Amino acid sequence: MAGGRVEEGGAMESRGVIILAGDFGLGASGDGSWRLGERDLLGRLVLVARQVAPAVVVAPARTPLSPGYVATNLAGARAIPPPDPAGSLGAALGAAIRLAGAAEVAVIPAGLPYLDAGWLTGLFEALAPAADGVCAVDGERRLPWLAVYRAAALAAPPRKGAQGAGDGLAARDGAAPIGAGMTILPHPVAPAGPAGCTVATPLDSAAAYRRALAHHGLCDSAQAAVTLELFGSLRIRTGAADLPIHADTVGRALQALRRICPETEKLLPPEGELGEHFRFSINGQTVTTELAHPLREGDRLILFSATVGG
Amino acid sequence: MHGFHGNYLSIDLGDASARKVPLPREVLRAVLGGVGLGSWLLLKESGEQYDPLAPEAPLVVAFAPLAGTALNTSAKAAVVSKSPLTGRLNDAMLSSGFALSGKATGSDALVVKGACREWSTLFVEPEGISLRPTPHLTGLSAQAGAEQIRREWGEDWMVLSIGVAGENLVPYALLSHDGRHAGRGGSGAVFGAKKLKAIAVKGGCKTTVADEERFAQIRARLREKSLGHATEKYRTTGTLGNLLVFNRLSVLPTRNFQQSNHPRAEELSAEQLFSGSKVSRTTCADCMIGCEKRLEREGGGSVRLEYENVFALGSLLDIWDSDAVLEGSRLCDEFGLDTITLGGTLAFAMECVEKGLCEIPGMKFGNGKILLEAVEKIARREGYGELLALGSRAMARRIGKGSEALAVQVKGLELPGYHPARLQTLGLGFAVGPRGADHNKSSAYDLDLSGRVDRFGLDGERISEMVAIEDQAAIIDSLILCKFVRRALGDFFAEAAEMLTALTGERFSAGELRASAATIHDLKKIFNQRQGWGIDEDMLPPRFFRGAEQGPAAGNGSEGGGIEKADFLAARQSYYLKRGWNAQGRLNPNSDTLRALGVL
Repeated sequence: MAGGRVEEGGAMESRGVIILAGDFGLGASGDGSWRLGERDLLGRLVLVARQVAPAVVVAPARTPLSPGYVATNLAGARAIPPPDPAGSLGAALGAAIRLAGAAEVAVIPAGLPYLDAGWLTGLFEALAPAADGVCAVDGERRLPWLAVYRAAALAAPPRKGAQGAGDGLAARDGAAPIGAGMTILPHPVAPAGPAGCTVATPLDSAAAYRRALAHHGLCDSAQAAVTLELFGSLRIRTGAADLPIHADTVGRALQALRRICPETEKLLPPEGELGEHFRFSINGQTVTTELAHPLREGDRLILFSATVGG
Repeated sequence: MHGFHGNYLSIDLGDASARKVPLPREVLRAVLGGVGLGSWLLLKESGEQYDPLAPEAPLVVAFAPLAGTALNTSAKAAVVSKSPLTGRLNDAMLSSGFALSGKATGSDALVVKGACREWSTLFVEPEGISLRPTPHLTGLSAQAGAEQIRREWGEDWMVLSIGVAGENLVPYALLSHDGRHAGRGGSGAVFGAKKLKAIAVKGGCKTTVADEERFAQIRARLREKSLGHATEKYRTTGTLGNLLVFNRLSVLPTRNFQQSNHPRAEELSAEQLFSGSKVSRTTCADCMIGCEKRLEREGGGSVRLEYENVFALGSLLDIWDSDAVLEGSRLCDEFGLDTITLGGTLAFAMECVEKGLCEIPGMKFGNGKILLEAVEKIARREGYGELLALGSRAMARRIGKGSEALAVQVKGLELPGYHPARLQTLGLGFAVGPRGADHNKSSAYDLDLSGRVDRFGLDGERISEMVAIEDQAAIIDSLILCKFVRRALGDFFAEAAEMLTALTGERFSAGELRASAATIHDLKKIFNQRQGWGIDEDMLPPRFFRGAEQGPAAGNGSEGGGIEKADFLAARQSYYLKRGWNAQGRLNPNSDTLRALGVL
């Protein structure tokens, strides 16, 4: 199992297998999931997951993926058919884990906000101490946001009394374990009581998710959760209109873009420069060319070509 | 002097005669070619306050020193005349083969006066001219007319022609060559008034270069820089790449400039239209950028995807059906109409109808069908098309009832797709522009979106930079190069001087070219003053100023706000003084430079 930390701006280290289990809003014909800007969510998650794991498995619970969709949107991932009978998230996950055969897997169930590869890496890191798994939970909907498990722990039968959307994967508030030796992270917004927040947007999810990880010492909470808006060639090439990222300056936002969407490398100025040909607008108002310009939680950063007009 | 022929061809359509008139070297050094030469010639050949559609009204086609050198984007010419829409100087740019073949006829410019007895085509070649009756071409589109001319007289002719709108003297009719247009200001109507369907050119007079080796290095350097980040946007999405960014920055005018963004903008964006569609890329002669994008249509044929067309016939009219917008654009090309003025006039009409100031059935924001119907009615001046053919300013004068406040124009030229309350330096540039509201002569949006100034305000400190941007545009239009290559040039005036030095064999300096730019602006100012210009013309429509939230001109952007009038007036005065004019914007009548050019 490969190890190592992710360096800011450096190459990704690979870790285990990431399993995307669930239907992610897949259409009946199996060729399109929930949209995130111009690109579908599942495609975007595969792109991120491939940066931190040598293998990615997509395991729908109900809807078989069309070959054309897999080839176009999920390049680099293996897709398996839904279990028989269809509908069981747990059974889909089990099949995927058997296929993966790795000691460590990260499971990303449906309903997840957009991720940055850094968070997946942080979660894998959390497996290093004694816990068999780490899971962030949406308290209201009682669905795991993200869970990183040891495969062996998942292969064990679920504890009696566990309940939820599918066998073996239901999450509950508080420190209720799933399987042996697991720790679940409760929802950070309402850690001590019933869930009070509705996770409505990817940005809300990402912000709460980041706080959850910070609460458990799993990430650096200094970076703001912002949204990078892409246009023109950047959007066409990445398929993403909006990218929720974590960055406390304009320069770090560009680094995050490079990391998450390596296909943009040729379109962007050299590392450490904004160059003459790009501008940022903060929330559609201020225009800046300063890489050190600070960002605040919730800022929307519009990256556009300096060659305006015509 | 290499790069120039040293003469212009003075043509009289009345008696089908032409004579070569020498061009003094000092004039060519001072004003170069293109717009500079065209403005000088127009001044020399015209009188005061004349009718732009009268037979004696001159029309100048000015070629450029760089044309014929194969320098990237240099296949351009300028068409300069008095505009029937604005009554002021109109300098329109023209691209591709006609510019090259025109220069190859052996003259630096054609000055066309008089009128034909019947509809005719003017043929120009080194051996002379011929005027051939071509009444059978009337009623044809510019493209079809050009194709017929080439079928009848030879495929080696390059043709500049008009469509039905020009034949019917619509004041915003355009000239077309190979799908490219000298679009704004009504040059097509000037042709029409002369019963001139087309000008066809061909020739073999080459552009000679003094220092071939040095020029080859310049050519190679520009070619390399033209394929980098500086032109990436134009190469990939073309100008339509502006639309969604402008919407996001609240710069995209919608509903006759009442708002500056719209939730449906994505439906007309390049990002949307390119997705899942076949889009081809074409280039002008001697260009490797290839900004023109064409959407291939399912039933055959293709339509141009240009920002100004999509803005003017889409967001400005609150029409978000891309099929209607693109078909409207195609019809404008076919009938020979400027899309920006047509869109601005329709938007004005729609708002008048909405506010009960006039009645035109179906003339409502969002009605794509009326757009398609209106284009032909305007071109043929039929029904309500007769009124809309006037353009928004003249139409407002006809309607009255306070509708003048709703006509979004400067000097009669409707505003292009930039909301001036959100890009206030550009707004000032629109107001003081000699042609009217023209984003190509004032590219001050570059400054507004640079991060160096507050785009939501106006102050005197930015005027120097604004003037520098205008001056750069004047020289680009006189060399001529395409403005899309401007960011590939580093120190523009230094590089331009280097080009001219290597081309002509005479030493040019950056300082001299800056002075030339100022002279070119002065020439345009003199012409306009002689045609009756007054300071009140250098003004934006009332809806862009603070306090316009109420009343008939209400609406200056969805985020509210507007231009502070006092700031605008102060900045305008700073501009005049920076240009060397007096505080009322009038030219200094004692300029030695202008006397030396024989225009004072």
